[in-house]
Amino acid sequence: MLDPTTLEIIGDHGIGNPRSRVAHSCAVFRDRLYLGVTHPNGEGPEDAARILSYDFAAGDWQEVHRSPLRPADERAFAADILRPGGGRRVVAPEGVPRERGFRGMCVFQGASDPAPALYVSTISNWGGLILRSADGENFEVVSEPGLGDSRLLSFRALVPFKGRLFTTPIGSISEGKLDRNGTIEPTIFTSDDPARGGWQRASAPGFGDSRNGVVFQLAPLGDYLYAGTGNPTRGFEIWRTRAEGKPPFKWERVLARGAGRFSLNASVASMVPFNGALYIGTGLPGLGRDRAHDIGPAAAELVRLWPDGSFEVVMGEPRFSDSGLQVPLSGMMPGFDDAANSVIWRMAVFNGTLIVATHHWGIYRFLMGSDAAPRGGFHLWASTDGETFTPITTDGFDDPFAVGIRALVPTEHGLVIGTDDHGVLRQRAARQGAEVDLGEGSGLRISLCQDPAPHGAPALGPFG
Amino acid sequence: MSVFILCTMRSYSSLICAMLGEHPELYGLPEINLAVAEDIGGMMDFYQRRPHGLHGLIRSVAQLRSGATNDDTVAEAEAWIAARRDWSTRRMLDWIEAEVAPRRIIDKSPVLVRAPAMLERLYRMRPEAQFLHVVRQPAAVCRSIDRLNAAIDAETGKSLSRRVDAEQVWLKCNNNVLEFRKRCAPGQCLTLQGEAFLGQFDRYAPQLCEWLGIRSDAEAMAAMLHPERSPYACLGPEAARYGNDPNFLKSPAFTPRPIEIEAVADGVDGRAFKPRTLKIARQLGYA
Repeated sequence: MLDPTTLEIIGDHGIGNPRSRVAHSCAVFRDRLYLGVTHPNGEGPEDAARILSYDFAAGDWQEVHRSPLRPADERAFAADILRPGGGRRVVAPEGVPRERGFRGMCVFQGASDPAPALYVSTISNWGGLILRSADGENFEVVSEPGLGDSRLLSFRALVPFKGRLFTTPIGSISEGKLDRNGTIEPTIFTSDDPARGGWQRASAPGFGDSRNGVVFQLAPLGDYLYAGTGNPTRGFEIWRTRAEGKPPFKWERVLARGAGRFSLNASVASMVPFNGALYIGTGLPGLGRDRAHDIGPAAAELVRLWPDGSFEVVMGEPRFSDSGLQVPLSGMMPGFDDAANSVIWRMAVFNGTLIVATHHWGIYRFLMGSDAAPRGGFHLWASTDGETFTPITTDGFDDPFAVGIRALVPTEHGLVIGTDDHGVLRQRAARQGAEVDLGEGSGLRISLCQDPAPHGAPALGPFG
Repeated sequence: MSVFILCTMRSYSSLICAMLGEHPELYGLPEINLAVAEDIGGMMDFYQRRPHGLHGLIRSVAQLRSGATNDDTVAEAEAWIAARRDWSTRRMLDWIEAEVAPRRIIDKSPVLVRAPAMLERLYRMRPEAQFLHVVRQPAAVCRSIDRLNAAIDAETGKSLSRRVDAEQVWLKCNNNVLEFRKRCAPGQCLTLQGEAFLGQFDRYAPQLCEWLGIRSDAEAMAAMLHPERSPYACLGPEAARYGNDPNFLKSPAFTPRPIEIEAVADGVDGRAFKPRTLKIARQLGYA
């Protein structure tokens, strides 16, 4: 079990740039830790996305890649539909960064790769790209923008399976509007040789149902690759394929209607295989309310799906379902009994323990005046059996402005934990009179955590 | 521990209540509507202009006191109730529960979901109860309400069908239950699609039994397939004729069959639903 007393911060304050707020993607490659950072706005040269590399032995960081700049055109000013009045507001004469983030990262060896290479997906208003690095120092673009459709903002999942690399488009730009969570291409792409491109559609759009508006996550389990959708009308769906033959592959639906919670489980935010089952974390954007589709408010759930298609609610609402009466196995209601845990953003298995990390919007209660002092911060829960959970932290490791965990990667050096820091909230809280240490500013934080011994007593919920 | 079905009118609740009421460990009541007031006097005043609202209580008292429901026992029951105007409605519920013990009562009183205050009163009467939120696709409910009101209009010469906004009834009632559910303990109030229970009885009935903590063996399952065996599953004597949905009283038998569910995006009879109706409908599983 993780022990929070072993927490060791190995990078802080955005690691050289306090505007680097999101530890968006992470992987171990050639014995080093690679981190893709994202800047929410990307307004000028200081918001150029970076890829950083960490030497575990020496304990130092190195910038190995930085987004190039490009002239600001109309796409630079696309209005974010989740942030009215947003979009780039200040443009430096040098231009704007082509990439404001690196969303997906994995190690994969394609048909023409002589050795495993590091693949990274970008966030770009001019079409997300796939980057490749053979040595961890030089990164080359190996795809067309948006894999041929420059309206595709980014690629979220980046998952190797049966000698192929699979990815899912996320976000789109069209008619001057930027939708970071939706997409105009709700499908899955695959290539067995991404170094040379060769991307093909691995599935029909929305698996043949237009209500599946986006494919959020991919995860392998046994002989199958599983895909989790966003479906604001019916609730998320889970599809799977053996990926045999040539793409597009044959897919079968194994779970639908948000596991019986319908639209309140609109989206799959994270998936991870653990002890023979697929654990599925759900979520709604913002403060647990999907304003674009008028859903919520609701907190996140954790569901586990077995290969035979049956499922169980691990943490969430009791209910009747096609899979029998559901009483949460953990005894905990949605959001780990906390309504502000609106998304299960990341999950990982570390030394035989399931680790679940959330997005927590509690700090907004202070900013909106309902809390007297800043409170909040992400939750991190751990379980060795997938049913009994122990809290590792319920306050962002004592940082209410650390709203979520975006990177969660097991390594032989410990569990890597990378945050999403809302620095602007820190400044707002300070202006509202809160005692906030602005210090060197804000920015993402990367930590290592160990599991030397069992920690604490099992959490008990309303079902005991 | 009592069981209360909370639902919008015309949501299969008469049939489902009668089916569950045939379970060997449960006792299905007609609509006793006790939580409309604090005491029996208040309840009688509430229904002064709509006396059919008392029919369920009268029939229950007649059946439980006399073992039969006929003109004589109904008249006795009316007098017995009238003599207890000072009883709290909670005390009346105590009496009914004691009469049916060791079986547990299951009640459905759709009038209660129209007002949060009545739901709150029901909760105060039985804070340990289990509450079953039964739902039905809104277009089907709207059509059913409109048909019922048109029939009442034809009988009475009134214009109820023009005054009642069936969609608003569905929305308000379900919203009230969803709000009420927030004050319940986890698992105390669960939602059940009527279409799922009736269309997939073998899958959902055992789940209900498990939730209620009652047996789900073959005998119990078979008993629930015969709602027509309830003493309340027929039209009563003239003085207490109803106490349940008139259509159910005329045709109470259950025939298992899949129920097709319409898309809510299609609205009802060419008219689109309000955004709020769509939101709640999707939250309840109607896509």
